[in-house]
Amino acid sequence: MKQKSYTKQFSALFCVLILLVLINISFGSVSIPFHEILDILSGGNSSKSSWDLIILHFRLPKAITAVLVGSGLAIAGLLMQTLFRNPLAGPFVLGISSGASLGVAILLLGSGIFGGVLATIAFSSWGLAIASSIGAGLVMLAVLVTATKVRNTMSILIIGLMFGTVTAAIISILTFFSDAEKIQQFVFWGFGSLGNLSWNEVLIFFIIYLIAVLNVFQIIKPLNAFLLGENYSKSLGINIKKSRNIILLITSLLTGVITAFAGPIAFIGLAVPHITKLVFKTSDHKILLPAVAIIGGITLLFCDVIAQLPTSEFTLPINAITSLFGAPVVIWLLVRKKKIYL
Amino acid sequence: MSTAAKNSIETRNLHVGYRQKNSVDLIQQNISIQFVAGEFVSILGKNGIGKSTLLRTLTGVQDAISGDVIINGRNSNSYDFKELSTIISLVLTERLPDSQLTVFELVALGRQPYTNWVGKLEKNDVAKIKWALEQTETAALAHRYFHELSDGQLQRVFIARALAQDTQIIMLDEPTAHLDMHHTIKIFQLLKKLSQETNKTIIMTTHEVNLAISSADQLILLTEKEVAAGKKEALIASNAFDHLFSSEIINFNATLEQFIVTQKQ
Repeated sequence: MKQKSYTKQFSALFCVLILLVLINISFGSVSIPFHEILDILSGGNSSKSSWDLIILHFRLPKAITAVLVGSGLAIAGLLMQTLFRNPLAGPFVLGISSGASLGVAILLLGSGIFGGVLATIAFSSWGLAIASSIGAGLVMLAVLVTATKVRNTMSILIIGLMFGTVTAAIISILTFFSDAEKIQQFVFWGFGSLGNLSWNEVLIFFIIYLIAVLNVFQIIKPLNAFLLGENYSKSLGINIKKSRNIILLITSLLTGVITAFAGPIAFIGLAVPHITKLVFKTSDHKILLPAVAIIGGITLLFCDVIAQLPTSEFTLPINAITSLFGAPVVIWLLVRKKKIYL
Repeated sequence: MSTAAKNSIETRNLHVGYRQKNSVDLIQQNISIQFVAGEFVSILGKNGIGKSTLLRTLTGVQDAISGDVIINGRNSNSYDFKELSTIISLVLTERLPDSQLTVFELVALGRQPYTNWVGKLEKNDVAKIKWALEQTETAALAHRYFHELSDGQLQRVFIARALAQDTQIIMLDEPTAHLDMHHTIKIFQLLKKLSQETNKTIIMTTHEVNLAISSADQLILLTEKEVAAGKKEALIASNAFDHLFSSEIINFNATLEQFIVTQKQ
């Protein structure tokens, strides 16, 4: 009666991840020969110093950002699906990403309207990340409170949708009162972008990401117990309130920091956990959590390669690519008439 | 703690019901019952009389309106969930969310009160799980997904999960609700056997009155007027069964020790 082993799947996925990081770094508006890239990454010098700069200060931080964004959103999505016992939950669907956008909007657009302190905070990366996390946290809290009153999975989704609509409305009101320059800044942010992050910002991103992910370790048992429902979890000695608060903290921080630095990115949080569950055929969070993290990273690296439009000098908004990829996955999940599992 | 208080659960003047905003919906009052180790107990009563409410109050899922539930000499509300999880395990009627848990994993979740922070199963955990699967004759199903099982198999798996939790008390809410006669009797026999062989106190609510009367060590009858508890013989002597269903359709026959449908002439 041995337990299943997933070493094979994990090593295969890890190889794919490394490979995609390399592919991701190889593509861009400037074409750089692959062996030169390997030279640069291994610490040597390439034949052109501008290539060093492009790889080390643009493409490498961007690839790392992609992995952080993809894995973070996937983890947040998995936690929300298990917490709400709803296979269609995710940071974007439940309006958590919109909450994060609202935080950013108040900071970016509000700095023009209210001026003063907001204006100084607005241009610090920490300020952006914190405002966005608070926005995400508030919506998550609101959804959590309403979810305890209505148990129906469909209602929770609709409530999430409503919160998303309300935040969008507030953002459009803010936009109405803002000047063109601020609006342009906000709109560009809203397209979503994995690039544009300096190493310093990547570090801030990573620190907040790490705080969130380290907290995941203390809720692995509660997450598995939640698969039996609330009453069984209680009878297994799980402190439901505490676990719920930790999930609230993790999902707010992850969605918040990701939205602040990469813009609102749709569907990764919803689609990746389901792809992972199809591949691994398990509901054990010890396996699922690292698995969604890796598959999330892979997915976003892949979407980013497409967004680069290889060999072209244009870059499409990453948000558009994840939607083009994610929406069909969700539709397919719903129409294939098989059960969707937590 | 006195030794007499070991392995025991009792209620003193327990009132159960639901607390509304500014009123109390009292469902059953003045319940004073003692449960002994190794006893197989059935809680009987018609729909809506408060069987599940009583069971939920005993398990600590729901607060008592007044009175006490004493577990091992201590009031149950002085226990936290963590402590209680090593004393009482549950088998509930609620459907599980759809997930890809295997039978083994589901039963293994019963070990959560004892495992480390990531839930790693040690040798003795695996041994307990295997034992629980064997006791419930579900070992052959261990690697199936729980959602592939029939209701009868699933109910035995839930009992295995409760066994793996290794508690002195197991409480079950209508464990035979969706089962046919064959599987119903199988569950009753399993529970009876477990109470005798493991010395666990097994308390369940059920609508299978005749099976309960013939197999339970103690019966708890909930009626509008009173709560009667005791062995079958004592309850028959006091005509307590006559009040269980205040109906002309079924009657208790004291010689057969069964409820039978009244023949109309």
